[in-house]
Amino acid sequence: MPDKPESFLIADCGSVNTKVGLVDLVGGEYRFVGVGVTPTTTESPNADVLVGVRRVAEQLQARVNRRLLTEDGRLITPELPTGQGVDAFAAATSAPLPIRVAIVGLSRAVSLASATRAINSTYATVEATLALDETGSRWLGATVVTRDGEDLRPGDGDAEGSDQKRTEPLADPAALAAEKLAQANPEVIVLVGGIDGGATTALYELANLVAVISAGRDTSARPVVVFAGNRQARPEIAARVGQVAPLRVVDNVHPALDRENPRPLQHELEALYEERKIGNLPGVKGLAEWTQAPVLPAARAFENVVRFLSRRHNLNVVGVDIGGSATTLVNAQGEAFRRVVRADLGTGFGLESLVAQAGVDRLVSWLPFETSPEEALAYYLNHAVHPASIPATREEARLMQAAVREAIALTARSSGIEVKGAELILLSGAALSRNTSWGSVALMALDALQPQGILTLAVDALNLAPSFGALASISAAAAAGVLERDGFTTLGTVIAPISNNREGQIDLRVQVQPTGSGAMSLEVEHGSLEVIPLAPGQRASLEVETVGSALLPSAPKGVYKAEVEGGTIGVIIDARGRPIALPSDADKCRTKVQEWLWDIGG
Amino acid sequence: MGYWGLMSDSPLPVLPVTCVQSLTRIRRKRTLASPGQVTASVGSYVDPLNVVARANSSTHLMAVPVARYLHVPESKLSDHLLKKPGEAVYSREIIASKPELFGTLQRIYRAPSAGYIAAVQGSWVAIGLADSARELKALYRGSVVDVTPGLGVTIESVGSLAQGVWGAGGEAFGVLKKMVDAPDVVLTEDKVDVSVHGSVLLLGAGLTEQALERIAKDQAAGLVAGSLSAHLQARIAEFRIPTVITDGFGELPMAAPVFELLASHVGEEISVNATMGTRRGTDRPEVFIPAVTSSASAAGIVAAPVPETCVGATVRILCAPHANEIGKIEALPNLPQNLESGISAWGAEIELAGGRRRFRSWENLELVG
Repeated sequence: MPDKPESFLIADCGSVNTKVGLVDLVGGEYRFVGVGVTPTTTESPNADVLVGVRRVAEQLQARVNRRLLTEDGRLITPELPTGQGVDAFAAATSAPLPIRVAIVGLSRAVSLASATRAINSTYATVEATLALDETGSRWLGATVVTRDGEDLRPGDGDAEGSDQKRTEPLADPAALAAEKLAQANPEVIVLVGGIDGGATTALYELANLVAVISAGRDTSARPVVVFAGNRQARPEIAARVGQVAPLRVVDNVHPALDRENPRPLQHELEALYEERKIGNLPGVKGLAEWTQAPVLPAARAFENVVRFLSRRHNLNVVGVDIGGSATTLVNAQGEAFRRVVRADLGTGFGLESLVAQAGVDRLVSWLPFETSPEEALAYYLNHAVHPASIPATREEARLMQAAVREAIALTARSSGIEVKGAELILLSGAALSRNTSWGSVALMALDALQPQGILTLAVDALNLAPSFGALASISAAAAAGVLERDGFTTLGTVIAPISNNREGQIDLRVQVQPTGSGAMSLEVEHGSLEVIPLAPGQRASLEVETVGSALLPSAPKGVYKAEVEGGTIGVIIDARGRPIALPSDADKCRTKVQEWLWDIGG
Repeated sequence: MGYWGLMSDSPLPVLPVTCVQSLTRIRRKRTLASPGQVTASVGSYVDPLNVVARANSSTHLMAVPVARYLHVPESKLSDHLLKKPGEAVYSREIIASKPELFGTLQRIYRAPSAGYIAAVQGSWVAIGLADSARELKALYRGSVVDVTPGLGVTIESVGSLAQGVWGAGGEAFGVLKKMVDAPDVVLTEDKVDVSVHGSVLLLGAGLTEQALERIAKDQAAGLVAGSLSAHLQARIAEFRIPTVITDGFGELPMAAPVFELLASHVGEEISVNATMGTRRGTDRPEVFIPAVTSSASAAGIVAAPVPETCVGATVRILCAPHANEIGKIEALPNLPQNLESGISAWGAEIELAGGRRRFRSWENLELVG
């Protein structure tokens, strides 16, 4: 790669589709030149992710009239004086299956909760949990006593007195929990528990359990054990577990009663994902030969984008990337950031799990037309077996939009991320970038995240955000340039008050004065959704006066003034209140959802 | 944006393929979930029920806090264990005991099921329960053409193949029994009797819940259906009936070519591979009917070529409207078209039965061949 690369091929190999984009210096500025998409090739007969990348590169070659690959399919790099090829290549992926993790620990509410939060930061699913405080704690309770080879019956008396409770071993909660853990056959067992310097006896017992389950498996099939508990227990844990299973030790996920420390465990799990999952993705070695930078997990690449934009504009940014198998939510403000990955919620392969968690009735409540839960479920299951298909009818589009809402809402709810302070919300993923209208996209985001205050809504219309994040790992300047100019399409400015006013009462008086044209004023009733058109790039002076109990978080009470920029929708005033309430009556609910779609141009 | 977009000189997209072949040659890898011993060798001829490999460890592991049950410290557990790691145990066999009350009583722990002592650590004993999952059957009748030491074999076979879109319940082998007269018929309970026992049942547009319960009760070996009511998906898993769905969920008829192909093999033995990973996995669920043919005539049968996207290719529409209808690519418009949903997409003009012509996006098509 040249010292100062000027042209780049960037790829995002998702679980469903592979997107490849071309970035080049145009007039001294890094610009996006072209993009192509094809289904990810991890299936027979082309179980090689590089096959899909080559296919899109061939599409791009034809589209931009620039040779990118040699006759035998290798990337031409660095760029030739004739303009063929590119200087560098960068890639991100979410194509591998998530890591299957089990958590074993002392307390469900403390150490397991902290570990779960750490696990939810990468592509991992929790297959089993065992909390000692839920299993009778002392692992006692089952005794079978015999005399002359015959089992005693209750009341026969036993070795320790007739009042002792007799329990069959299989009914023992400890044995049941242990069996579930063994049956889950996890790839990684996270062992947590105890504050640093605290008691260790119970932890050692758990370590024995983890060790015996690991040792019971074939050597090549044993799980990796990550110990993130009481620091003082490390030598003994190593002695008990380290001899039978690969053991990795990281700092305590909950080192003190009042302190959580998830980052080291997060890093270790992400390293395992890169090593065991991305590293074993069919064809990834060929892909890695095209680049000097590692192939990044797409969630981390997307995080790079959100953090960059937060630092660059000094904003509280929330980014959502919804994929076929996973949904990522990132919040960044200055140097602080947080990332949540729900590897079980998506709009492709992840639909089955999404429907199970959201409930089909909840999904149906977002539809403006009548359909039975059975029909809706059939649609979702069919889409899950053909995840690359796109909504062909209006009804299918609404069904998919309902799924997107719930995937984002479930991720946000489980994340602990405060969306209400967001100043910029970024939306990424094929289900958002490729939709029926920008109004539908905006409404999905408002319904799912329910932001409050005044903020900007933008969408990754190219569906390349993770690729831009990967590009940052080889050229920060190129990534910054292309993100600034081409990365996101602004949908508009959202004004979302919170209010205790009754439906029909005035929440806000809004005046928008676009540069070079007449002012527009309106009174916004509580419960309504209004749009004031303001074209992309057009600026306007905004005055918002709150009325009654309405208020705009982070804005001073009274009249709020600001300069805003337009977007594909304009200024969106969401006075539906928080939380947004759907009518319980099905007919009224459909009518309300349809009204909102009409109001926003969805 | 040109999603799957094409200029006139761009290569055509590579569409997913569903194989429906009346006579083809296939190769299938049969691999253990964890390492073990391969019992078949290259060149050997295997029947579907032959064991070709056996895993070293059980997939069903049970961990038991035996030291706690015996009321002994973990350091003393080995003194009371009657079995060592690796030793076999039979169901209800005493594997640990400790004398109590001066030897007049014994505190014991019995194996909950047949298996072997997988490991001992601290106060815990892991018991690998005997389960059939340790044994990998051939499933396909044919010749072993490759062996992956410790993991499995590749079997080559000749016969009829139909791939599905969804599967659950594992694998099955049995005689194919037709339960409905047409691909759009839903099977009802009154058509099910004890004769389904051990058979693989050919259905059309799915079945009622009562029919499924009756089939489970009468222990059919497996199901092949065009579709399945969405709410029955969980019940298939509950009953563990190997089931391959060829078209989708809802009340969809089985595609006519698939129904006709399978119906022509009623009474013959059929292999059902309904395993499916968390995602599609590298292999689709499928059914395969080995050909009854001499080795000489089989030698001339070659693997079906992978169909390509081109005018004249046979395709299936994946979603509404006209979901699962099969037609032929008639033309390749050189501009994207607006779908009813409002999405703009590139695709092809498809001619359906009766001469109807419809535009469908590439994303919503698959090749059939």
